[in-house]
Amino acid sequence: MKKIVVLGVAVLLSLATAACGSSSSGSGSSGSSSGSKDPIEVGAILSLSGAVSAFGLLTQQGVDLAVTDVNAHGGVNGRQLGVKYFDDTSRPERAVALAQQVVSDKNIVAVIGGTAAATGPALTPVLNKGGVPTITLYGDPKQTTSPGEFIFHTAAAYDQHADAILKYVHDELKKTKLGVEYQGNQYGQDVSAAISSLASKYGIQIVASQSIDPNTTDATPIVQKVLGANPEVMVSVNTTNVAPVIAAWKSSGTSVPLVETIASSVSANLSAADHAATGLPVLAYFNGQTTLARQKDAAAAYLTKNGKPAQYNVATGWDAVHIMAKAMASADPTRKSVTAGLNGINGYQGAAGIISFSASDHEGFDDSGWIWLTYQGNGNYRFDPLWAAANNVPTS
Amino acid sequence: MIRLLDTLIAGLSNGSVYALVGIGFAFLFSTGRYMNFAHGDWAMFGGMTAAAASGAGVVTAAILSPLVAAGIGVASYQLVLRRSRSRDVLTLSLILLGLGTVLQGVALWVWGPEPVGISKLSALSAWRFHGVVIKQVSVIVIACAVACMVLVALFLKGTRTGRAMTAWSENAEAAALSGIPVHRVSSIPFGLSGLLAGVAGFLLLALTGLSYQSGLVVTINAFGACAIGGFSSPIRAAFGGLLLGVIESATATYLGGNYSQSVTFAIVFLIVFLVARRYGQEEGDGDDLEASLELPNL
Repeated sequence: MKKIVVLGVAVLLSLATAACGSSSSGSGSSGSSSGSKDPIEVGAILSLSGAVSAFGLLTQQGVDLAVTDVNAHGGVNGRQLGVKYFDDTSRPERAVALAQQVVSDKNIVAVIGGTAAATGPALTPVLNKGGVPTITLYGDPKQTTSPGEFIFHTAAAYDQHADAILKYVHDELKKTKLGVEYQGNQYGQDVSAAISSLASKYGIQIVASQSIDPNTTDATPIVQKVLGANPEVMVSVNTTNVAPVIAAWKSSGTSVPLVETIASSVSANLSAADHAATGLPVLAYFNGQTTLARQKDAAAAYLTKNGKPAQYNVATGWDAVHIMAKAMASADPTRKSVTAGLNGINGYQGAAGIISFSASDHEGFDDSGWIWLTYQGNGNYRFDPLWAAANNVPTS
Repeated sequence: MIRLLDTLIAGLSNGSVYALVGIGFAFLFSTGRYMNFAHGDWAMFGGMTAAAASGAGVVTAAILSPLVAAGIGVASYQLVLRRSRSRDVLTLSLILLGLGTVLQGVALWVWGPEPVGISKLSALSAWRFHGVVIKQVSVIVIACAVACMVLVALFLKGTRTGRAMTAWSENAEAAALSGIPVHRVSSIPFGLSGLLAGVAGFLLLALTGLSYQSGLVVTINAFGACAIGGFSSPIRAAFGGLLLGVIESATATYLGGNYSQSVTFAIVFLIVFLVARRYGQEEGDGDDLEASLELPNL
């Protein structure tokens, strides 16, 4: 009996540790490189299994769609683009091993990868040291990450998330007392810390900042604690499990408005709180239903293929390939020339943001690339009326 | 005081889900010494099937989830475990783990990587008494757990099949010799365990949403409930689940959500350690650690 219980503990601990990835698939190739000899080979180190595979698998779809799009438009200087996928299983040590493998594979001229903060910071130092130009897809706090000569970030840093929230509270809602609920994970902690440190820039006072258990089914006590501090507006900083917070906020009967962050720009994340979430403003990179001109191609390609709207991970994959193709267009692609090409990307109008790099700045996401949505219920969004009016954008 | 009551209600609501999965987990351990590492995946699959069928109405979805999970449970026993050459419970438990991984793959293939949920329960309102918020959905969740606990207790004590299961769990050989159809009886706990996993799966679908990866957390919570309440008694495991929920909620409220899971499991392992140590001092060995983990008879 004792042996069985001990085995149970051991298996569950190992499963929990490997929650970041239970399969160990190697690499495979997308079928997008047919039609021309000598395709240009790009490596994609993504989390295709394990804890953050939901993000990685969607990114993969975006990458595939973009490669098809680039090749359908003649490829890069007449050469087809090919992608070789590597699954880091959401584990940093696996990501490091794959990065080393890619560095030694001289056919791979550039890399797209680092699905999330769990694996991205692990693989980028290896790729940077190996001189492989890499477009990353994960957000990260600026203050702890120096991208490096060959590393190019396209996602917003966490302090940019915080700044966007504060700007909306100040400029559109015109409130000065903010209560923060955040998920007790890396994203929640870093964004809430950045909100606290940047609040004075907007004359905003943080009256409460409370974290929730990422797996809770009932967030009522935490939401009541935040509301008990009498904020004029409350923000929820979660990456997953947004429904319990929204349900608790709604059932409190409060008149304090709730502002949601990017997890809620994915309608699937709101499916357990659809009614309660209706009318909430949501910070977003991209939403496949409600698009600006720069976002329409990615949204249409995904919709045509899958019959449903894309979400932002698809858009980040789409953008990474198109940015890479632009960087390769100026010269015969080598690791050195692609790096130089990426340093020359200026004001790329992407689906998930507006991206610019220079030799001295590899944090590419421009703050003007954010959009604000309002959730309409039943999986529908439109542009937030306050943000739309301020930016001369029609709401639908 | 208001915060304490809010915390207690939320804890019981959280704990009710843990109780439901704890009962199901303990069912299989108590009857066959199976560690069902796929328990959470049964809940996930039942819940996700219910989500797919939610267009036919919430009641249909609520019925479908336990039925599907029960079907998976019975099929796991009848089609795989019963036919396995090995009778070693560790091997069979690892087979269950493998079947859980298969379920995850099927769920990913059928429904994709994004989470699914149903929103009807979130639309329910709440009662507010002197600042204390009691959500109607919390009452439903707690009522479900209590009803399942009562029904399981009545089944085990008050029906012939339940008594046969109890006899089988205590001594399978003697039960077979006394004419109990062991193979038929042994598939019943799998069905019941699946049924309870499916109820929990439906509730999670309504409270948080589910994705193909949701099973592991459910299994860990089921294990935690059993670690507190005892692996060999479904009812005591249910109380373990409720206690786990309250500890977790109180930790989140008073220490912060950053630490709630680590502190909660530290408390669970402290309980296990202290009880095991006391048992070791009393008995001189630790062969029946599981017995030492149980709460008093309820």
